[in-house]
Amino acid sequence: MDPTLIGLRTQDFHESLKVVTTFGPKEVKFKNTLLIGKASSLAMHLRGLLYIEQYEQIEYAAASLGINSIELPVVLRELETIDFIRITKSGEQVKRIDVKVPEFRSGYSELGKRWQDLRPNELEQAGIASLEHLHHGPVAVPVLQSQYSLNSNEFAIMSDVMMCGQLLAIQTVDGTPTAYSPLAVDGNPSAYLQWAKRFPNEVTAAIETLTQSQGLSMSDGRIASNKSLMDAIQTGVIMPVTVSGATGAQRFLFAPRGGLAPEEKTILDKSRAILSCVRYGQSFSQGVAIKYPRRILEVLRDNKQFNRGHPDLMSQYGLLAEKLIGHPFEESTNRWNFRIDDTDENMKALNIAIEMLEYGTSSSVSIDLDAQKALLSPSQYQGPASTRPRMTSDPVVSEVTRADIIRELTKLTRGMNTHG
Amino acid sequence: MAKTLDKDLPLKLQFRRILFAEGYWSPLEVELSNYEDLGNTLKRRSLTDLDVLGIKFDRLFNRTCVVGDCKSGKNVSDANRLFWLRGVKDYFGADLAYYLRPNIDSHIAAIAPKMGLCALPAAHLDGLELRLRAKETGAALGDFADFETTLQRWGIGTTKGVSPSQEQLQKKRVYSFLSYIYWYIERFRALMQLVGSFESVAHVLSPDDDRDVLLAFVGAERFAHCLLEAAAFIHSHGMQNIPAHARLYFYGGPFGLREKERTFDLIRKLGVVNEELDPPWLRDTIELLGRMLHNPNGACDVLRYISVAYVSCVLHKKQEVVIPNANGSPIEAIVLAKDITLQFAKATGIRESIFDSIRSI
Repeated sequence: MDPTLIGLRTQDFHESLKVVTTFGPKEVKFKNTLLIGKASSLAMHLRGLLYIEQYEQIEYAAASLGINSIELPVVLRELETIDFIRITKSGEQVKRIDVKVPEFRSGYSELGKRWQDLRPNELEQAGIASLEHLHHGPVAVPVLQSQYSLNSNEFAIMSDVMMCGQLLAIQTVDGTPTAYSPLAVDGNPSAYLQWAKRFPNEVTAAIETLTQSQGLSMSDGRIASNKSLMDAIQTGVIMPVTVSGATGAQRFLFAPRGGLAPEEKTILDKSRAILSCVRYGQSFSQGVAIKYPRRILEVLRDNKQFNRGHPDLMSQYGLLAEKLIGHPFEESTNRWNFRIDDTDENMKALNIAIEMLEYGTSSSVSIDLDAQKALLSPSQYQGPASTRPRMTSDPVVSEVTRADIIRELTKLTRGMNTHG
Repeated sequence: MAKTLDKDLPLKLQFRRILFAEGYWSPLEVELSNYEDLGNTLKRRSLTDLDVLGIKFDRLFNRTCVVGDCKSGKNVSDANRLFWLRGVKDYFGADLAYYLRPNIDSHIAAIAPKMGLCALPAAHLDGLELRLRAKETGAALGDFADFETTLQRWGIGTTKGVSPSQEQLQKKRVYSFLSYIYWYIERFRALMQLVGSFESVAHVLSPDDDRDVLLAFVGAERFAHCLLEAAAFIHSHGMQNIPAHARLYFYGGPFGLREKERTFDLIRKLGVVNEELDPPWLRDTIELLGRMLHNPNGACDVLRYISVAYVSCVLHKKQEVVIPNANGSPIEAIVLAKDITLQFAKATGIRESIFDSIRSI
């Protein structure tokens, strides 16, 4: 499996399971995956920084990301192993953490390779592979189970852990238990599963098309001729974003992305709106078409407005005003520019739009604004207003997993554990 | 072999301190040469050495280059020397050139500006050093003894009458590259050649050999210099696509890049090797370049910090690097200087432990 995908999926594991209280199978069977997932999550928050002088700063940030101060040194050691950070010490004290997280590549490849080096157990390997599989469409549970060399007990433990974190869900479709990942579903899972049932052979390719070209126009040949995608749009599995510009209304499509907290969902909506407006300018502009979409988004992020306005801009970016991202203003007679409101959420939305444009997927969706603030703030404690507590949930596990936990505890109590 | 210290040295060191206080980095051993193609070999002809060279990058990555000619003897024709200095300034492409003497006659002081030069007498230099607090700042560069020690460690260190070993001959080529070729070739070629040059001796450089440690630090300084030159190119071409602009620079522009890519395509078609054009270390070097471009407050001063790191951490065994009255952002500069040094080791295959002295700065 591609190390980049492994890196991404380990982060999914950590992000999803950090809100589940500690329980044996999660901590014991998935320890390497969670460790690299934590390292991935922290690395993505450190990106762009040059150094951190106060260790407490990183402790606060890590805490927001579900990494406690006891775990932090181990996570930092992993990041140091892959040369993403360098810890400078004065005696036993950490003097400074120099940051070297790559900016021109995703960095997940190194994280994925590190996970492989840690020799993950079979359960972890199956968990990562099946999560990746489910990102491309649902699959019948017996088929999923047959793909990995896990016995039924092991498969049950893996499923339980993944279901606790909502990485995996099972629904019966026409009598067949079908597994899907809520991370790969935008809206109603039932509609998604029915769609997958109607087009069992086309789902993977359809999702791939959208991931490769986020913000694809519905008038693009790849959509118009694709029955499965048209069906997904009609049944609400994929929800297009509409932009009404100077040459009429156009609809743009995005690969589904689920498993987000409500505030993350709002930011993703904003990112999709931003990217749709830029796609409109690329293909449906009345004047000069946008040649370098990434540059346009970077200018908007860095300068908070475009370098030069044009007459179509008001209608083309009107959607962004509706979504409270910013507002058009008249630069000169009949020449409009757009000013983005400089809020943390809007800047995050722009970064996500840039990543979707470049890589098809965005790790920044999971960027925690509280953690980012902690890293940038000279005083570490953010105050109750900005530090958002999350309720942890208790795991709901099957009888098989429960029996396994009890078996292990019994062995320990009897002194039968060989520690081998 | 011990080197003889020249009588102009006090003047040179004083000017070096003044330049340092003004943010300039002064590389060791700079000699201008010309290379002639003699069919199967290149013949080097020495033109002249530069007494003092100062290079500075500002926060917009603009480079300023100063050359200084120091003469303390009596039998010197100042006018001839000025004409010579003007030629050196033009040949080297320096922005400023200083002529430094214990005393300057009034007619020399008058004609120097007409030639785009500046002639300074020692008394003026003393005043300047005081006003700029250059002694205080320049202390970070070490004293006369430190400079002497550094010069003693520069070179392969053969004894008269004893033939150099194979290893020494290998290292000699690196010294020769740093002293002559580095200043002769086009700037964009310097990074690849520098890394190639050190790669060839990486296996014989020892952290326990004082000469090797100095050689590695000088290599790291030059690596930083190459990156700053690249940063200047990228900055002037726009920051929107740093990796693409970096490759354009290192491969000599769009035509150079295209030619090299096509050559590699052909090599791959032959099926002998399956190499990519970019050497494996280039990806992380471009990441480092990106960090420098995004942190100009520190990046502009990394050259001085690497020089001072050698004096402070290697010669004085300290665990800190301080430049009094430094502008910009010292921590940014230290972090980047360390990054550059360790990336240089990674790119060339030199053992990282050769830079152990700066591990805790």
